[in-house]
Amino acid sequence: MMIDIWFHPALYLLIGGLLLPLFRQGVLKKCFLLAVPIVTFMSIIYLDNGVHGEVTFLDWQLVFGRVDSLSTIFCYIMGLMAIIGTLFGLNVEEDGQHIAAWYYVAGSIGVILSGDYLSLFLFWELMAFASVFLVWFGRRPDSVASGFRYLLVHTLGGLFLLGGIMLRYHATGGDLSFVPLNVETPDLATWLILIGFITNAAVVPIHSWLPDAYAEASVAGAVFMCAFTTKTAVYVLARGFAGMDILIVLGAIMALYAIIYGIIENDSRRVFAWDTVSQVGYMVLGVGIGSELAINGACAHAFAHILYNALLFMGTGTVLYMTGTAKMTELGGLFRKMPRTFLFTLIGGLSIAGLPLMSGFVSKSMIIAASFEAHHVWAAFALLLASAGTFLLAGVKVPYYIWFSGNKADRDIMEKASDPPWNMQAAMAVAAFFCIFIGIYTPYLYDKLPFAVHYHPYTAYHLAEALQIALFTGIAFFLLKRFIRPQPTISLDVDWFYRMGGRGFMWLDNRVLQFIDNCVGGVYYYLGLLPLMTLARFWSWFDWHGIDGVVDGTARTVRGIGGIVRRFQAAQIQYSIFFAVSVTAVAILLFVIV
Amino acid sequence: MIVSIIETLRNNLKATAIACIVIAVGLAVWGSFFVDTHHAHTQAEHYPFFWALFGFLGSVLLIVIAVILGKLGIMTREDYYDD
Repeated sequence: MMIDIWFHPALYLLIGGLLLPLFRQGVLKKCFLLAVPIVTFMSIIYLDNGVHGEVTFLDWQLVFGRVDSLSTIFCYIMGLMAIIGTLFGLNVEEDGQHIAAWYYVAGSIGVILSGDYLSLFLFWELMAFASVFLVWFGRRPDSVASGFRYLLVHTLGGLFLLGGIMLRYHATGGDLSFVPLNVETPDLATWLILIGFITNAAVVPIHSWLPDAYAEASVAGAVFMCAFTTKTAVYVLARGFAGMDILIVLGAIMALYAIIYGIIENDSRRVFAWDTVSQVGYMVLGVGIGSELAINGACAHAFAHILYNALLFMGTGTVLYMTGTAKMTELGGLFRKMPRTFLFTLIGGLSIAGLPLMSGFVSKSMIIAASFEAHHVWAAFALLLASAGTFLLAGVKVPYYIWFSGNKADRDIMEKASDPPWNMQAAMAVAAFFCIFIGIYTPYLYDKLPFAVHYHPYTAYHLAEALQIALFTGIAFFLLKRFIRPQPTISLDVDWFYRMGGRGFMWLDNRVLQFIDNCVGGVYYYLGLLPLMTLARFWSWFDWHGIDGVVDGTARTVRGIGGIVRRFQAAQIQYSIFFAVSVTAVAILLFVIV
Repeated sequence: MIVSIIETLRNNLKATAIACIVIAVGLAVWGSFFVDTHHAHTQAEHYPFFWALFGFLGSVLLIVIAVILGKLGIMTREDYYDD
């Protein structure tokens, strides 16, 4: 075996996480917190193309470092996001949150660099088991339950993936390498692997875990979560399933379904969770088309999306952190107290909506152009409709109901509201910078894409199209806003089936199974236990009076005589002498007479 | 600075609203009659005000669907799962 001296970028995060508890709170710790993701990012930048970290384990050839144009761009953005996320959470004092976040990022980078299914599966599970702690660290009323639901869904997805890997291993005669799958005539193994992957991509109808978990996660944790799981899934889909037709349909459904739910949602973090599902729908659709332009679009959109989505979760997370609530019904009129947070969130909102000079404009339009090019006209229009809906949510609704909309936040919330600590503002500023930088200087992003780019976003026609959609969506919002004013409600979704299904099982367990158990217990008591006890009591009686009566009868007789004799043996000496003399006298008399 | 700009816009709400509508209509006119439409992908896009109507009617459609589904029982009380 060739000895390859190659240091996996994820190792910096894993080792950093182990060392973190050794530092005391203070400046040194904050420096260490920033240094670890920065070193990780630098090591990603200097990755050489090629195959590294090949390990022979038992009969298997594992590849930990497949570095090519597709894995490089995803690793780059994950590394950059790790820095921004850690900077945002720098004031978090719990080591556990930082360690969970770093292990989560390590899992994501590990998946992206994996060249075989076995190491991919290892890192895939690391992601799920590290990120669930970010939900639990939320410490909100529903965080624990939500975390367990998240874990169960991902464990189930992981089992599908593992099943697919096993079947594929047998079908190929022991080949574990992770290469493009046969998407024209998919076999069972391919379907199972696909189900495993799209569980993490939050494809409808296996998407409910995402708004459920992201809205319950800790403020800093949600910023990490919104970036890594779904975009890692987009990477593996782009690697393995490019050109699979069903993904076009699923992507379009995701893009629109999530917008509908976002419109009737009250919790602002949950609105952006729905926006995440919608935007990942664009990427899934792009992967489904599978052309060079579409794959470029999916990668570019994943890159841009990670940054503006993190910005949106940082903005609404900041509102939650400062005021204690992210519900739009309890907020309003905060622009005087949190102007910078407003500005950053608005930049994120305009980026996700794809307005000119913002990152979304140069990334999502590639996927739409690819849809038109591949003659999926309905898919392109579905994405354009979703763009209008995205502007409605992120560009207008959330900013309006948190920062404007009269002054309905109560005095308590208004007093607490202010722009957050410096590190949170700095992280938002960095993300906002990249959102605008990508929108203005397109070569920064386009040069990183897996295929050469011949696409020009800034044509007069495209500008006119995007601006008209946005502005007339804005007008529609202000005309109809009384119908979509936030309400203190939650929305029922497909998670109803497993949440109520779980309850159904508990009901079955508590009522039906418990009843059956009670019946069996009763039958056992009356037919089994009672006769047994009666029989036992009989044998006990027989033993005492029968067996012992014979054996111990002698002893009892001796004891009875002993008791009588004892009466004569009182402790006083005169009685003893009296008895002794009496007995002696009687004996002499008898002797004399006889 | 951010606050003062917003305050100015809010104090002149009517003027701001009119300015927005003027910009929107101006853009729609520009996009319909002055922009080279050979980049258009479908025949429908050549109709004037296509994207303005698409944005407006599309949003109305999404809002109507969401409100109807919400009223049908998708939107429920916050403590629904707490029982």
